[in-house]
Amino acid sequence: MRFTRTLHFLSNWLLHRSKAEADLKDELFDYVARQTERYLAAGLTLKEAERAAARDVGSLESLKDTCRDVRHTRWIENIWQDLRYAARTLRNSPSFTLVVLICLALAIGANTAIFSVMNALMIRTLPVQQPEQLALLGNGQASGTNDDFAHNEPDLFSWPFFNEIRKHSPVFSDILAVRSFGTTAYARYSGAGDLEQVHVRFVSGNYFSVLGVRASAGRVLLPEDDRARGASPPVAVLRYGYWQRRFARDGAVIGRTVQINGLQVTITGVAAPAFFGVVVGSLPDFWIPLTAQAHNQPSSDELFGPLTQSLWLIGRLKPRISLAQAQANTDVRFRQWLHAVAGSSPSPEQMKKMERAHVTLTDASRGPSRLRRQFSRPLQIVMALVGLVLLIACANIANLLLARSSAREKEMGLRIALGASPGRLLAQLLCESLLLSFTGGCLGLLLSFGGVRLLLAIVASGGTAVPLTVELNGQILAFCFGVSVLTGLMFGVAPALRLTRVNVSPALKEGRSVSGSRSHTRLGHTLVVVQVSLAYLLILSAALFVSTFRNLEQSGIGFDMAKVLVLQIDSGSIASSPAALLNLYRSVEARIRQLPGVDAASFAELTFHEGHWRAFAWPEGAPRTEANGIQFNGDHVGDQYFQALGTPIILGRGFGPQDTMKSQPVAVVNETFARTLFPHVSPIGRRFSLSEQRDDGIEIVGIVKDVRYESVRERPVGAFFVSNSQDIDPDGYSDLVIRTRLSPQQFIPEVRTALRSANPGLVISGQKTLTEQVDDSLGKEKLLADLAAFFAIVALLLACIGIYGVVAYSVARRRNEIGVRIALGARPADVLGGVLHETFSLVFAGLGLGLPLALLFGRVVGSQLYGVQSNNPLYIAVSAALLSGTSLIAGFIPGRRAARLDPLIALREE
Amino acid sequence: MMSKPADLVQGTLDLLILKILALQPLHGWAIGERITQMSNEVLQVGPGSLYPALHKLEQAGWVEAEWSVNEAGRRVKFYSITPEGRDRLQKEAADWKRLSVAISSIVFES
Repeated sequence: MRFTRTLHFLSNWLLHRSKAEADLKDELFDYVARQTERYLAAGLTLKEAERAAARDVGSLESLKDTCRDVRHTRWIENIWQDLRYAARTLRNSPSFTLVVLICLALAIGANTAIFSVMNALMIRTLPVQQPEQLALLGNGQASGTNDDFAHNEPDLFSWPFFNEIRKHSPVFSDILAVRSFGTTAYARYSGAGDLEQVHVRFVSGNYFSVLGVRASAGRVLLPEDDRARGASPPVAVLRYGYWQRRFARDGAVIGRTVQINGLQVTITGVAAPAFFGVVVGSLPDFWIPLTAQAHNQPSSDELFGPLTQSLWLIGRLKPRISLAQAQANTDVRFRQWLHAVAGSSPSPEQMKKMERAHVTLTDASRGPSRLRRQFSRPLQIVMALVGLVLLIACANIANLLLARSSAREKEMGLRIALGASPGRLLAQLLCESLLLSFTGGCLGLLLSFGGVRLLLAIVASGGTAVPLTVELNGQILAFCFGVSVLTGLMFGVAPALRLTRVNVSPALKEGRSVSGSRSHTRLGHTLVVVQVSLAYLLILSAALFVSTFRNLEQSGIGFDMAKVLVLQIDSGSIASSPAALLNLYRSVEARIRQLPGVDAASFAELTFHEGHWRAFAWPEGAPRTEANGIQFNGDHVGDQYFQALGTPIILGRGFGPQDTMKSQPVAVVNETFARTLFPHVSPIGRRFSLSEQRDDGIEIVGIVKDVRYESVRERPVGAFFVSNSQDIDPDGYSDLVIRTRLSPQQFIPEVRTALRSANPGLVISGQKTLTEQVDDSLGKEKLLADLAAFFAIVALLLACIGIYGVVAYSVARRRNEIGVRIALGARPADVLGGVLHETFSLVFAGLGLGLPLALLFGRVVGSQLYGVQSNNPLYIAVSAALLSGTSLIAGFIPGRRAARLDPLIALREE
Repeated sequence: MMSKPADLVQGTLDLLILKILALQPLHGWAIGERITQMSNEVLQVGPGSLYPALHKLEQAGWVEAEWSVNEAGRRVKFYSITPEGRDRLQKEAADWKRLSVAISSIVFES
């Protein structure tokens, strides 16, 4: 009650502040007037009457204050006054204000930008109803398709299991299925000519109803849309952002048909604006029911087979059911289902696998995300680094305020002498700091929008933008506000406390007040030492991260990456059979090889960092059981693949025209494969099988050098290659690898023309040089290296400004002393030496404090480093030298000024 | 000055103001005059106590104010008691009675 009344008065005050003040004035004026009239009536003269009335009232202002006090408006009045006073003071020193605001905006902006990305990736819950009730089966680590009989904790599940587990679940109110990977597809709208690249996510029909996501136009997917395979007409729901971008939110799009990779679908609606799906780091344009795929893939039995496991399942827990209860129930039902799949007489091997198979449940309130796993740690490190930059900026601003405060000592002394309470002065000074930090924070918030875009661009280097929606929300605003207030207090408290402890009498005397300045200098020195130590930490960590990135980039992937162009080509919609596809590939390869400057050209199913095809292989003669098999990476490639990539063939031959459907099946394997499967014997001419059921009898005809296939950091992996001519992957997604003597980028238009003339229906969905592909795989290392280097430079600059400020101030304060010394015969070099000595004592103190901090930090981030130790003495020394060298300049400028001081002028000032 | 407001028992000023406003709405100066007059010039309340007390009562919701303009063209603020103020008055008057009887019974014990 009391609180609401106060609130009422506060709002009243805010709205009618001037009226309330006028009322108060009028009311008291009325009293004075009546009192005057009474004294007049009693026979006094007008002057006497007025004086008597004024005596009765006493101090009008203090009476007003008492009245305001009663109304609880005095503190607001004070703050209001303080703010206006602070704004006036800051306006009077525009250059100081500008410098501080720039520092603050950059530091707070950087912090807010990184927090925004962290928030979107790691903190924010899914924009669905009651996300805390969602549970993911498995932990979402794996994506893709798996056809193993489950023998551990699976992440991927099959369509039949999904339908089984949904039935009569005592723990889930319902379960949805979503394909664990998105599909890049090509869409052609009815009436529009061109193919457009779109992202599709296949989901179950109950996807939207389980999540509780509504349509913003039309309707969302319904369970009826996903009834039986191929039985419901294919429909699709658009993402709001896509609808906005592609159709400018035109409602007429509902009911239109669109051909997506040959599948005719009708658009039924658009999802709610905030909804981006359940996978953080993936932005589908279309959601299409899983069963719709049966329409254009007649042989879709495989897609819906009990062991075709490609789905993530997310359940909504019933009220009052815990994750553990749900897990126990799901695990039992999973094993029952496995038994049913294995049939009445499971093999001993299947029995063994079933014993080991368990389903775990994880919280899905934030949705599964590969991006999160990859970038959580780097983002946390970067957050720590920008936090340190903010601290350095705070120290700098505190130092600026200190320097300014010596100019204000007189003002403060006067105000204290006139009776201002120290608390009131402190409040007023803090008000100034908070006004600064808050304005800086608002600017920083604006800057952070650009920062977020920059961050996402760094992560996405060369490739497409990171599909992550980062929006301003309450959490980000609260973070920015909190950081601003904290910043203001951090840089404001120490100078303010010092100012309010001003000794009145010396402060009011003419000339320089020595006592105050000495404590100021000590505080200023401490701040600079802290700055230097933090800057040292940042510089050393930047050196480590940059060298990690360089090491990884240079260690490369085992072959010559320059001048290799990789084009991603989708020909699935134009080649109907494997034979047609092979013909298409061959004609394209032949055409490209004819282009001038081309050394080699070949299709390959997978190139570096595009995922993997893992398959079991058995040497000829060995029993083909899973226990006996070894898993290797496989790839389907064209004839000139090894030449195109520049992988040396160590032994035997590559693929050639002699390898056909009718000839002996052959393979080229790498060194690790050969060593693993055929130890101690020559592998050429040996045979192996990739099938558990029958002996393929694939003959090894060549050995190639080991290279890296998925990541620069990977250990040697065994790999085999089969020829497109003998075994082609029928889905038509393939990479065309071209080695050229020309600049690959300039070469692209020619290649495109050649491809169009080979077949106008070929779609090029991506083009990169191999170097770019390798860089893309180093996204998080690049993020750390770029940002650490950038913030290290900022920190170095800020620290140098800090050193300059403190040294320059100390020189200015000692002008008389220096003047006397020069007059007494000190040489300029001695004076300069003295100043540099002061500078270096600051820097070395900072380095001494910074080194243990940096070593500690290095140990914490050790797992992110590659090819360099966090205690590398060279880096420790070089970083220290860099910092000392730069601060030498910062100290040299005021030092030289001191050395050139004219003693006559300096001494006359006293 | 016979009695300064500071000598008034804490809270009595509120009681006096409420009692006077219960009779008729008045402006600040007149309230002070009325207190002096009704107490046979024993009690005098200066503006330094009167106005903060009035504002406190206004904020508590026991009195309310209305502005009017007098013949001299000055804005005048008239206070009147609210229903809550009347309840408060009754309670405080009863309290005061008990207290004064209690004190009298000790002080004038014969």
